[in-house]
Amino acid sequence: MSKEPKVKAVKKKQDPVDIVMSVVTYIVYSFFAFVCVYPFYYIFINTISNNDLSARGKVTFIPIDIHFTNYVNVSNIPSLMDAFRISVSRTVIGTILTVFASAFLGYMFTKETMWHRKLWYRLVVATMYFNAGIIPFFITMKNIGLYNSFWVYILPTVVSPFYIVLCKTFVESVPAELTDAAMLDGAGTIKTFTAVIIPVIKPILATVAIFSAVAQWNSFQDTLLLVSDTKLFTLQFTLYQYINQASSLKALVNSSTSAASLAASLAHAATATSIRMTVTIVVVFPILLVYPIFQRYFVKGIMIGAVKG
Amino acid sequence: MNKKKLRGYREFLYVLPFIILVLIFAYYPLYGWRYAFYDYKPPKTLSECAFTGLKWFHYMIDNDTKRKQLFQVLLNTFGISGLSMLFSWFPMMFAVFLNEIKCKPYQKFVQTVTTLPNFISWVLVYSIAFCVFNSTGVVNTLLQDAGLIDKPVMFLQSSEHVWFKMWLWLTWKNAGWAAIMYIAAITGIDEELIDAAKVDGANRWKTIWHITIPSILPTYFVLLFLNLANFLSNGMEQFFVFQNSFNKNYIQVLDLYVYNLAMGSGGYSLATAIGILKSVVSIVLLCVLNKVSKATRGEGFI
Amino acid sequence: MKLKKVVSLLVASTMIMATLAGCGSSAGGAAPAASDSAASTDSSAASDTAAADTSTDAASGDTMEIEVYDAAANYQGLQTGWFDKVVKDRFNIDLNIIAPQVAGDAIYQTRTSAGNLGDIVLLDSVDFADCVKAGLIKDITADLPNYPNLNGYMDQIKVYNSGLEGNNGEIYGIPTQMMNTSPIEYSQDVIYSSPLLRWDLYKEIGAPDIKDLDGLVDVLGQIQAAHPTNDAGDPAYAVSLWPDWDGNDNMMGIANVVQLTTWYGEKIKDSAILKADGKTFVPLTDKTASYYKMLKFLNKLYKAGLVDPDSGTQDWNAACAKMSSGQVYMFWYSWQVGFWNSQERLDNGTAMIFVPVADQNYYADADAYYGSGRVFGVGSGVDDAKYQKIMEFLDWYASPEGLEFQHAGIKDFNYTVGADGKFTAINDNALMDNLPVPEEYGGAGYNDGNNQINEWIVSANAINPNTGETYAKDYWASWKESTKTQMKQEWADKFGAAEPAEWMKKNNKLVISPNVAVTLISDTADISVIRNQCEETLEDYSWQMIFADSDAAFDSMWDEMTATMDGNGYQDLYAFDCEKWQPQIDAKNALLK
Repeated sequence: MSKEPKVKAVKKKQDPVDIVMSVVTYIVYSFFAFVCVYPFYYIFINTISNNDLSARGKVTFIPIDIHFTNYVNVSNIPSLMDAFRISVSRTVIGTILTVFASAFLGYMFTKETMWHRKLWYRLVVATMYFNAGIIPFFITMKNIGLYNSFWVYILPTVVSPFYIVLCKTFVESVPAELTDAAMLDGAGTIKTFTAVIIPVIKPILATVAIFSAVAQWNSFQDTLLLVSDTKLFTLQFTLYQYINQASSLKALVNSSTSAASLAASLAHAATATSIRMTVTIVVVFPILLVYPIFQRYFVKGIMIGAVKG
Repeated sequence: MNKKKLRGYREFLYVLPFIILVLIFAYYPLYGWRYAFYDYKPPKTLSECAFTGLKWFHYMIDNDTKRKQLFQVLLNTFGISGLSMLFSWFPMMFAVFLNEIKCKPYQKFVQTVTTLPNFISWVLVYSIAFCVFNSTGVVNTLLQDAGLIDKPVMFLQSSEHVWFKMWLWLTWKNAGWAAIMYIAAITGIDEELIDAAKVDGANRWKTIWHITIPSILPTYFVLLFLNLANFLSNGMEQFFVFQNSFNKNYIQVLDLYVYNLAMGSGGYSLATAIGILKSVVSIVLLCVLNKVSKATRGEGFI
Repeated sequence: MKLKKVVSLLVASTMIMATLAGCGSSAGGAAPAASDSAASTDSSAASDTAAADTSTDAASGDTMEIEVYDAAANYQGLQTGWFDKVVKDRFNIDLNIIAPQVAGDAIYQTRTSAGNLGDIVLLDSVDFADCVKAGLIKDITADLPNYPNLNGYMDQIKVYNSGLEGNNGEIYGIPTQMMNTSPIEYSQDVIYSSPLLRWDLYKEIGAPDIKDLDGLVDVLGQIQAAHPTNDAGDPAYAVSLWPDWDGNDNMMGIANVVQLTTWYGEKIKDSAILKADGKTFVPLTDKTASYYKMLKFLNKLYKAGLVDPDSGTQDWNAACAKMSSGQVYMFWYSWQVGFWNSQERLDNGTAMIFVPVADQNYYADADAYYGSGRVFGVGSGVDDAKYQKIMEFLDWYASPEGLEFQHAGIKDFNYTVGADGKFTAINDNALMDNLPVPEEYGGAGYNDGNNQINEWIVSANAINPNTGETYAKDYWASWKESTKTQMKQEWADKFGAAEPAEWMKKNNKLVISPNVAVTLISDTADISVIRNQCEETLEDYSWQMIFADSDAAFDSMWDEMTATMDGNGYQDLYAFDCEKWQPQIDAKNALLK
């Protein structure tokens, strides 16, 4: 609110360098935006065009024979709503916990006073670089009772080293006076964290939130391996296997002995690409809807002075 | 003195629950690394399998043919990782200049749409690439109509500039997404600094050079170093969908090579052995880079 | 103030989440809001209810959930729709299908390492034998004789189980797609792979007799020259290949080429080729064997401009689109006709049909009397109540009633029963068009509700004792009558036989490989890695050879390939594979005597 007049004041005395830069920036970004939008547009028009034409690559700029059967088919997948609920739950809970843990650990690991701080920090960061393999991971999960449990979606990703590093780097850029002042006022570690740190590092928290929300939303590998209870299937998993159903026909072909009935079922499944495209649109759409919420934290600059004062 | 120590312990207690999570989910399963020392093949239990020592660790270099293959694979891995390191400043500059766009709705629009490719799975990316670049696709049709070529060019089949093309695809898919981190970092810059510079008469270029970039450089360096330590892992999905028999010699990176080699149950031990080697390389690199960082920037990044 | 906003956002979203979790009717029990301890037990809930309800009649009580680990399924999750209703009405069970084809290899590795694959297990026979050894499969010897339908196949079941290593008469597995004919007969009309050409185009160029592969190249060349595009103006080619099916099916080499070797009576057995005599093995890399011959044939087509230039990069979906839009002039898999041969095209004579090449001698696997290579079993972890349910279900699954549902569909929806008791098909597009099923039969689309187990204990071509005809409609008298066409008549007149397989038998051009039940040894860890690497090398070079510009380039690539494969351990692999397949070959030859 208070910034507006200042920006206008600056605008008046525009430098020629600034103008050239503006023009170039606009051109370059418009080009990049086009390159990114077009494939998506391409996917979209193919989902509403005649499936035969789209399979043959005939739909490139304008939709042909518009229809919505692909969307109807996807919406007819059984228990889609239940899967949607699970996906939303895991995304919301998972994101909240991950953001909290990343912010808190990112802050705590800047504390020089912590007992063996470096050791613990390195212990966490190192996990980015190794992977035990799926068999021991699976057995571990089963042993601690996370197999077929909702928490298998949440707990393993709560501590994510990459996000912690991001947060820590950001916290380090916060002027030390800020926290020192709070400490002097008698605020404890937790109080400083909630009252001083969180408001200042909001942009990076928004970033972590987007990253982890999208990762949660898109994840299906964990369902694949660790969940056989159909009530816990996520939206992504349900859609994933719907796609795979259409494309894993090789084995079907190699094993079946009745050619005629096989031929019929193959022809039915031959529109896998349209299905895949439709699923992409269906999955990305909710993400785009919640995007603006996060974006609000990017366009407003932080006024550290304001926090200080 | 004693109080400080006590505080140190208390701070440790705060992070302890999280450390325990890490120990359970990341460290405890590492007992599975012992599978690398056996001829393990499910559904047998490990005790029924023969102990083979370091066999799988030198499996890929135990004769000339394999050594030659591995050499080419490592070359590809270095090439493709190297390209992305070389251009790792791209998302940062993308964010910096995006931030300079005055028209906020346009800025938001660009920021949103450039993340779109991130959501398209590689499988689907390939389908689109195939539609656009096949022998009767848009590109070939345009080129033929313009009289530039008379036979369709087999873009996806060619083995030329594979690394560069792969880098282009990756940048297209990830740049907008990776830029989010830098956009956040830019937002974190104290506005008073910028306003002060503007009052001093700095043009935008100067503001960028003297304030914006130095402020987000720490983020850049940390990310760069983290990625450098991970240079042996390129992921495999992208290369898996784009590979074909004609370009495989240049597209087969380590992750894809191991995947192709260790497919099926019998390859589990080999895949684990390579995984261990990769981890060791990464951790060693991480330590070295941390030393480098300390020597050059005066502080380590981990 | 801003902090408050964040907190309120968090609170709000948590509430939304809680509401969502709470209101889900079916999600209730296992939803996130429920305590984590409830969810950690996957089978105990099911077994509690099972104990209460051991009788077959599905009156009341909770439905028992049966996990089916299913190597044939390409759907993961609960069976739904009409087949679910059929099963639920009879047994009050839910089939929860775990599909490694959807989930990938990893699920086999992890589930076996944890000691429990599923309640019903369907595996390829090699894996099945491994799992029996690892104690994952239940011994069903004592109970099998109590189930009359399964008992009817006791001979075959016994033969299969006696082949398991170290077996002393116990029974673990039930083979799939068993037939009640004989193991040396071939009773279908078409074989899996043979040259199929467009009848109208073949006639247009004068329907010449084709002597050999060169003749075939020539015929295809003439067809393509006359029709360089399909009716819509898209470029058309004699053949269009796709690479994404390559690998992993007991036959090394490009998936599109390995089947072509059967045109000369030879069959690829992993890294070896079984010659037409059914006795001798030669290495796949032998220049006199059919893999080389067929690659060369494709290369000839390429040099004549008859191969779709996108063959090396397109995926199967793109290839399918071309097949169904008439951009391909030669098919070689019998199922490919599904993309083109509509009833309309059969009527107007533009369909694809087998055209013999004089010097060829076709290979076909005999009726799967002893089963098709996959095996049903019961998981060793099931409790008694569940075990009984499973056996009842499997028995029904092999019964005429169960088979009619599996192979012919729903009475009065997919077929009607005539006064003579024979079936007549109706709604024959039910599967293809996913026709809505009436509510009384379970509702939803027909294909959506189709049997997702996707594998059968008894073959569709077995004879139904209720009708005296096959279970599947393809060989019903009524179906044959309704699909008679002018084109078929022309074909029959020209070649002097009613069906392709009949022509082959008549002219002594069919090598029928007997069906036997021999369990092959599984790969060691070493061999499995060598196999992958050799396969990679073979496929990469093969594709490049198809696109080679000259014979010299072709041959030099072949030599380079052989050398590389040897470097990767091909000789060990070949020795291993000969030993692996020898017992099967011996058994086949014993049957023929």
